Amino acid sequence: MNFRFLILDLEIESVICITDSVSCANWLIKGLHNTKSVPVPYFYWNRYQDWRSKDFDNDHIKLTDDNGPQITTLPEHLITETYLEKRKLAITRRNALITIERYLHISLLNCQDHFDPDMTNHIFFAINNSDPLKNKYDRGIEEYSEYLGISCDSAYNELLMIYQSQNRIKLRNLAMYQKYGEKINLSSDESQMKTCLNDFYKDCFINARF
Amino acid sequence: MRDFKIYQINLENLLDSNKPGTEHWKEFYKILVPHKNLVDRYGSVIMPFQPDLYEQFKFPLIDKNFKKTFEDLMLERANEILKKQEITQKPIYLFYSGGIDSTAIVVAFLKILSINEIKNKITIVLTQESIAEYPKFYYEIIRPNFKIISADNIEELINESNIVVSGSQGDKIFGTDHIGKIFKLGLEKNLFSKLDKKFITQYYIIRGLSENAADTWFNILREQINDINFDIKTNFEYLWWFNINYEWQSEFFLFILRSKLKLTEKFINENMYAFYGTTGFQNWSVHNQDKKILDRWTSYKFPAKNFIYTYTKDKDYHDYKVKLVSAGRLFQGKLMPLGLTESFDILTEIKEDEFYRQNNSFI
Repeated sequence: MNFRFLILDLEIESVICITDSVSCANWLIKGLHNTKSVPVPYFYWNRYQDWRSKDFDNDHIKLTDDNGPQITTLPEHLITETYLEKRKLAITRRNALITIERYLHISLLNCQDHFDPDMTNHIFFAINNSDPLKNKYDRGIEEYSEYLGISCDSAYNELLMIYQSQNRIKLRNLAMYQKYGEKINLSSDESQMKTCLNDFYKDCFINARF
Repeated sequence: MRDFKIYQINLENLLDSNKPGTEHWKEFYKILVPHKNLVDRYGSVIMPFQPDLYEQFKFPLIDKNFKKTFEDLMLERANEILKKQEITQKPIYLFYSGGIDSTAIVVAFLKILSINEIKNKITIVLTQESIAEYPKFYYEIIRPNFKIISADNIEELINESNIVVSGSQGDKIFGTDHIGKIFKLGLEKNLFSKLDKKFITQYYIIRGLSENAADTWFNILREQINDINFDIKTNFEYLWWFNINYEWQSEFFLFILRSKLKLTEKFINENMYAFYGTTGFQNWSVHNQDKKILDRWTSYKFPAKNFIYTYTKDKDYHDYKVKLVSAGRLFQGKLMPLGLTESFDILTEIKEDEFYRQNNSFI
């Protein structure tokens, strides 16, 4: 099931931000006191007119989750400067986190030529279950080589290359997302966020250029 | 002043400098990334901040009677590397991006070795992006015939136990990426016309330089061009000249710097082969200005594409493949040290006063 994530200010049960990214939602709540992430199935927006008609970035929305997520208009007296500031900060941080996530995804997507996102784990198992020095290969690797008409040794090396590439990209992406997730959560205005994104862009892309 | 030499430096923090000569110099970094160093291989033009010229990268003497073809040079270089392997018995690791330069290198080895020899002698170092850049070549030629290894093992491969071959300096031999940008901007009409200050400065201005900075850069380079021992006649040749002369050293050391390993001069001189970095290729480049590009961007590097075609017979690739920046993903997100010293140690600190050159050409 696919979810959208509402970031809830627990002090007044107001929605301060919405995102489609679970990692973004989790980083947002790490950086904002008294918040939590509420996953809401996507079908709420398809099925219910009141969900579809709301602008979660601009409308003032109260969320209760006692018997499934329900939204109502946030009472006027709860629309305070503190709430508005917190919402503005959450949205600015969300935009920065999403920018980073998108860029990191590019390198991942570029090397993914298979539809199964868990493929790396399967490859890892087959590689671990083989010993090319003894000419012993996992049955999966043997089958891979038969299908493609290549030797088991070539099949093993190709899968190892795919595994190592993806593994390295994924770990590096994790490190970068951690580093910049923390930095974004320490930024409190748009100019700090811009500096943070420039640093990220430099680390991720500029340094890679010849 | 420093009491040690440096061969590569990240200029990022120095681009804020207000020292004499930096005003127009630093504007060029609107075009270049800050780790790209400009080092005049003749040693006459001096940047306010630059590394020292690595002795072996001095611009070679140009042989007026040079006659070798591109194919001669490809085979000569591949044979030289194979001979080295025969003597040292070290494995060859060939960094393959899937681009034109590195594909031509693979073809050079294929033309010399039998299929049986290939597998024992050469390991192709690649990523999934290398496959994506030229899938047919991978699936039909590399996959069945070569050993492969992920380029993400770069740290384990660059060492004295191996012979490391890269496609470095291929871009410098053929021209420059600026040519592609000029085609994209629709400015190619006068690219091959007589060297014209207006054409070059207008291009610099489009790329973000001020009029004054564009003028300064052109004038400094124009003066130098008068003193070298071959002619730079066209706008294309000027842009090529800038690349082969000023960006040569940086390209070589950036590849090494990214491995973050402690390397030795012995390794760099004896184990590290920038395939296109020979005096022969540079001579070819000087003498064959008409063999770098025809009238379309897709014809860029056509001698290398012809060379590939003689082996693959892949007309589609020959006619339509364009040069892409190939090595990006491998280094994407990889932290890069500040620079390299003459003893090939990592530079840990950059102080403006230590690195500033008072005798720079921009004052």
